[in-house]
Amino acid sequence: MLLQQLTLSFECLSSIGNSLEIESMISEVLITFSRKTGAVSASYYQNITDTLPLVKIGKNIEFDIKNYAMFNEPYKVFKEKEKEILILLLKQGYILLIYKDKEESIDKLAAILSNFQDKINLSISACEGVQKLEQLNEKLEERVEESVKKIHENEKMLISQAKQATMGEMIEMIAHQWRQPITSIGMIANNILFDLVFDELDNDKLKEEVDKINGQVMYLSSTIDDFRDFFKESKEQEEVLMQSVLKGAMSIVDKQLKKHNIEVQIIDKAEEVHFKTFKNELIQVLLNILGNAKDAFEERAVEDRKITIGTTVENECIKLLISDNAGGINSDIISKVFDPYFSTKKQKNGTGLGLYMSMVIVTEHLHGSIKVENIDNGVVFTILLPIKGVNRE
Amino acid sequence: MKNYYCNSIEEFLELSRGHENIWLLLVAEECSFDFSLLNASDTQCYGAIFPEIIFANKHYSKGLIAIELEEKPLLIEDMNANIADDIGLDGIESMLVFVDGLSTSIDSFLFSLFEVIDEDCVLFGGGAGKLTFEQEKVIFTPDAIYKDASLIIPFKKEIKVGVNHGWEFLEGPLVATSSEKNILKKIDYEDAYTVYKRIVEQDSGLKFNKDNFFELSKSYPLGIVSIDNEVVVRDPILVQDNALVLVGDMPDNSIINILKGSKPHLIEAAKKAAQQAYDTQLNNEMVFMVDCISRVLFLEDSFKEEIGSVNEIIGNTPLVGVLTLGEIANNSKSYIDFYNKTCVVGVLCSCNN
Repeated sequence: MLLQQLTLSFECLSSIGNSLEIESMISEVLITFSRKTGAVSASYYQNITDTLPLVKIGKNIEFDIKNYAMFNEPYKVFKEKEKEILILLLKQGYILLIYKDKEESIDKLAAILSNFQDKINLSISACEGVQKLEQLNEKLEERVEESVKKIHENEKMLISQAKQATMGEMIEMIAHQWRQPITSIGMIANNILFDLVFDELDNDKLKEEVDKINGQVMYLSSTIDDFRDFFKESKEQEEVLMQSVLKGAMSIVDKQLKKHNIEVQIIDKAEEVHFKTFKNELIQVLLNILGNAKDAFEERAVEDRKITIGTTVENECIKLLISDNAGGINSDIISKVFDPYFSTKKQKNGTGLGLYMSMVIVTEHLHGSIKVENIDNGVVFTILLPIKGVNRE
Repeated sequence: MKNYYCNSIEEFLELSRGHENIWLLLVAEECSFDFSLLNASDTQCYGAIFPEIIFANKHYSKGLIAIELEEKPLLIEDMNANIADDIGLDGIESMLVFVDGLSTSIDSFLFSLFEVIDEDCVLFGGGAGKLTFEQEKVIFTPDAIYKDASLIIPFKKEIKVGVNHGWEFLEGPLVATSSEKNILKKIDYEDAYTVYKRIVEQDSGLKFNKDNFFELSKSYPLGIVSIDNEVVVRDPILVQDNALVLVGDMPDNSIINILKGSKPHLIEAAKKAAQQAYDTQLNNEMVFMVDCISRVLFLEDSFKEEIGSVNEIIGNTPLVGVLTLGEIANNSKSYIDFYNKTCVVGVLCSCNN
């Protein structure tokens, strides 16, 4: 008999607390208790006043706790016709086991099972604790999600601000690039007018002049295409050659750099390498860096102005080096140049967003890296970009 | 209830021609069973395939038993699914239940069945299947043959059930420290096969090898100990990655013993099961014996003595039966247990008054 009692105790005890989900934990307890003790129905009520069980297994036998006198002992056995009802009181609720036609009294079983009340209470508390923690986690997740959303919105706003700032500079560049062809068109038109006045305009000459006008118009058109393409949002990565990226950037900024007597040397060792990227975003990074170099040359009135752009392939990455001889960045502030709203050009309407946005674009959008170092009489920006591209969320 | 032994499906179809009865067919594994013949006929046949069948005082590995039924059986097509409350079991107070004996869902099915049957329902039955231990389609209705299915045969008659096994304690108590459904992985934190092998080889003086597992294990089942000192027997039939594959589930942390048998005790147990079930005060119409096939493999030629011991108790009452992969018996006073290596005797009777 001792072995049977030990067996029952061990098996019932082993069934408690095996899950942190309350219904699953209690189900295992009820199944084991009822199968091992021969109960035909087992239920768990979460509160002493509950009339509907949270978990019920076995025969569907109606039971209403109100019909039974409340008691203070840990358990109570009631006899009702051919059934015996065992109520195990828990900290808040109770377990109900119903036996039918049991040959022996269930008092001994009840005494054994009542030993497990503390462990069941602890397991229920653990389940409830985990449930609360999960709810808190859920709320925390919601808050984190909300914060991330806000950060994304801010980032979007910053990109928009940076683009607007770039757009101002662009208009100046467009104006500069269009001035010469428009002057040419004007001059050709005047020539035609003079020839017409002096009756020297024949068909061949007119065709020659119109062809010249068309040539200038095509140049204007291609210029505007370059600018328009740049302002298009890159939704999909495209497979590009580094030379097309550099060409795209230079077509926008070349005239302005020339205007400021800046010589640009390109050593494109990666020109034949196809890689996947968001082209316009990368162009924007180049424009920011080149624009900063131009401002530094102006501010410091450097005479022999040189920018070198170099590309190589290194460990499945494209390495892009942009260096200048504009005097470098003060070592006290070089670590802050990628911080948002950090600018040394306050008096010149610097937004402090250009390099910050460049860093965001390279690291978060293009999944690469960007750093800046002082070199002899200048700085070098090193950008590493994965050749295989990135998955944009 | 009329019952017949037929040598073949063809013989049964000849017998049933012109009758509009509902038939229960208990088909022996070696019977040449072509379901399409039944399917093509007009007879309403429900049944299952078992390793062997029992008719009168003999057991057969060929042929089939045909029993005329009064009620239409109910098919549970998927033992894994919960049984719906409205499936039609209301008001049935006695039933025979056959399950796919090699299904891994037997325990959960019986659990679900217990919840939906009437409070006073008495039932018995067993596991269909073949001695190859490969799960096949073994439960059939007039429409199709199924695996992982169950067949419930309701009776208008009262049923008295007796259960006994006769296996005796060899070694224990041991703890099933890791098990999942019918796979016993660890005993006392060691690989289950290692522990089992050590005990069985020591007692039998024989050695396990890769081909003789069931040959030895059929004499050494496991017993799950319960509070009322009853032992639910579990039959290890295969070894899989040093775990024992059982017929029926083994709950985690069960306390188990290793059992061994003696022929006289097993034969005596069958007699006790018959004595429990057979009440001479009642009008006993038919006796249905559900006995584990591994008892035949253990008792060999002496198995006819086991049938004889039941016949000794029931006298001239007709006896039919099946040799099964697992046995079922329940009187609604506790959950439905799935036994192994056990003899279940069900007596269909009606009160004399």
